[in-house]
Amino acid sequence: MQYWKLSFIIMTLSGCWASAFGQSTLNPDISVIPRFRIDTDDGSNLPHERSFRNPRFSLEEFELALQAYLNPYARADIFIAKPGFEDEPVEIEEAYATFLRGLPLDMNIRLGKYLVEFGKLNMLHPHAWPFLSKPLSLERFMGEEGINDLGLSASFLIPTGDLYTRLTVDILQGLSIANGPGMESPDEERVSYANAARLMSFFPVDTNSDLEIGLSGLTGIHDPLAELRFHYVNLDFKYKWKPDAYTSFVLQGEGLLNRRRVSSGVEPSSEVITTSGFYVFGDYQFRKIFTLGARYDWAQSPYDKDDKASGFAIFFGFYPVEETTAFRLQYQNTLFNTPDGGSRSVNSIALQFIFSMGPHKAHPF
Amino acid sequence: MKKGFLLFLLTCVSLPLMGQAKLKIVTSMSDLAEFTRTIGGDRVEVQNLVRGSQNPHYLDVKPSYMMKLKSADAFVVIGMQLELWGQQIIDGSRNANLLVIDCSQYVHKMEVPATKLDASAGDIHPFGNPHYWLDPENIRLIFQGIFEGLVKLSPHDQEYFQSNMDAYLKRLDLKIGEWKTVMAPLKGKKIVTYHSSFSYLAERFGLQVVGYVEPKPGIPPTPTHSAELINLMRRAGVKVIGLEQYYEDNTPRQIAETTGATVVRLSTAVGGLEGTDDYIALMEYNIRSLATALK
Repeated sequence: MQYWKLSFIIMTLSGCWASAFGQSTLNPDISVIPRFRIDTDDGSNLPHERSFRNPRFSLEEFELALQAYLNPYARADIFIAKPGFEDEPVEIEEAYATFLRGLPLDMNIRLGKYLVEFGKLNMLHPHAWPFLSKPLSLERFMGEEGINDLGLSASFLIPTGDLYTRLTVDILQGLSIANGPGMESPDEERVSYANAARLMSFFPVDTNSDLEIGLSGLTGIHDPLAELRFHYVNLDFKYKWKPDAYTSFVLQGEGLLNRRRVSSGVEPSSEVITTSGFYVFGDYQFRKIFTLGARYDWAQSPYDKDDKASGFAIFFGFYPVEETTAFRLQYQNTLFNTPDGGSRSVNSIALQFIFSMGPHKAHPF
Repeated sequence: MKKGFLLFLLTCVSLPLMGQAKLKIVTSMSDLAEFTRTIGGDRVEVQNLVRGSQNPHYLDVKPSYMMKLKSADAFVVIGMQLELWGQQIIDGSRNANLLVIDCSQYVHKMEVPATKLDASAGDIHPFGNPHYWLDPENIRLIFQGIFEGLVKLSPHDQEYFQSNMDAYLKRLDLKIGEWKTVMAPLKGKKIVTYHSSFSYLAERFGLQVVGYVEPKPGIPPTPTHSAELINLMRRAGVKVIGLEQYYEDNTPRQIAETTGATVVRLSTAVGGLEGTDDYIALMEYNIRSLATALK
């Protein structure tokens, strides 16, 4: 049923495009990016037996992107996603308009549903990651879908001479917080607003390398019934060295500090919990078409500092024809430490295949 | 009294000139930066985004480039979708008054696709081959585009811009005459290049580009295509492979070893190789290298 809907959207769009081929410059850019995956892990039979299960084929996600200028002042971006081949719902992953010109203070305004500028990786769609799994710190504190919400975002360039410094401030509906991991109530009636902000600076280090540093904050109500608030502070950096078209190295990391009030059993008393998480990865492009990288991540639970997980991953990328096709292979070991003192180590191997039809633009630095 | 009056007059005349700020121009390529500096003289301040050693088709969209455009009066581009990254940088600059000068507007375009395009043809530019600045006769047309853009921004400098432009084109015309003389005996000679960067240059000087190391524009070489190219080069008697400054030389060298051809490093941009510090030096370098290899 869900596929029928998705097929209808694509057929309608492609029909319009074909009939108006003579005016194709006026039509939106249409891109399709599916991500296929074969994976296996040894976690399902633990602790009785450590053995890899039979590899499983899956469609991680099917992404349809429609992007166009609305007029000389604004553009719109729509991303429709359908995970899996089964009855998983078709989702509007993002749908927003950005007002680029004509506003005071050279401000940009974004309105709609979008991936919030919180940290560096949250805004990036998974097909653009060099690895196959979400870092544990993002998965545990921001959930599978990330901070993706309805809202309004305003961004300003801060006058810091030749240095690019941008401040982005968001007012969010708070839905992604309410539906996030471990959140107390998905009841939309009780959802409270959330606020996010990110200050970033971009430093050209030398002719071939650049550094970006960002500081983000996010606050909202994670338990609308008890009106309990949380605060996230996130520090991110990305260093990229690219001496020529065939060689590059990226070093990127983020560290998140979580501070939240949680119910301490008997209402209305509550206590404050402080936990954290981080990831750091390096990705080396050693030929035009090959990359090799490694990542280490560590995260506590948002609700319990004794509930911890750490992961180490090695990933290899093969891009035979630019960004139109990509193969990625990853091995990951994840160690889970439970509050009762127990631990469990899981190994996973995954192969990903991505192809990209259409002109979906390169992601900025 | 007389001195005081003269001082007053001098101040009145020089004040507007002292207050006249230079036009800030950003160009995509180093060649365009040189052309803009030549026309604009001391009335412009010019920066380029793509270094001579870089492939202009691919450029990381960096915030530092957006900062350059933020305070710029104009952005001079080759156009014809060579700078596919350009619009993101323009949008990121938040400069509502930026004038975009597209130098391709006056140029006769080669290799314009006549049918509907799709990715099976590789990275085809829908408006034709954009490497037109490597035909020195096209520089006059590029200058016209830049000149008109600068005059729009600073109409009272029109004569100054015109005289700078005329002086350079006169010098270039003399060099074009020399290059034609050098290349005349080589008319009809066949070459292979890595990418279709030298179509305009070859057409101007009567060379025939019979094949490419890339199987399709923008697509990395494959063993099958290399084998086909080797056969083609043997049949056609091709003795020179022209290689752009930013491409790897493994595959071209293997093909050259098999066919007995010579790989000649050529530059597509000012500053791309040693000895190509300005456009005339760049063309001199390319012409002399080709002429030596083809003799």
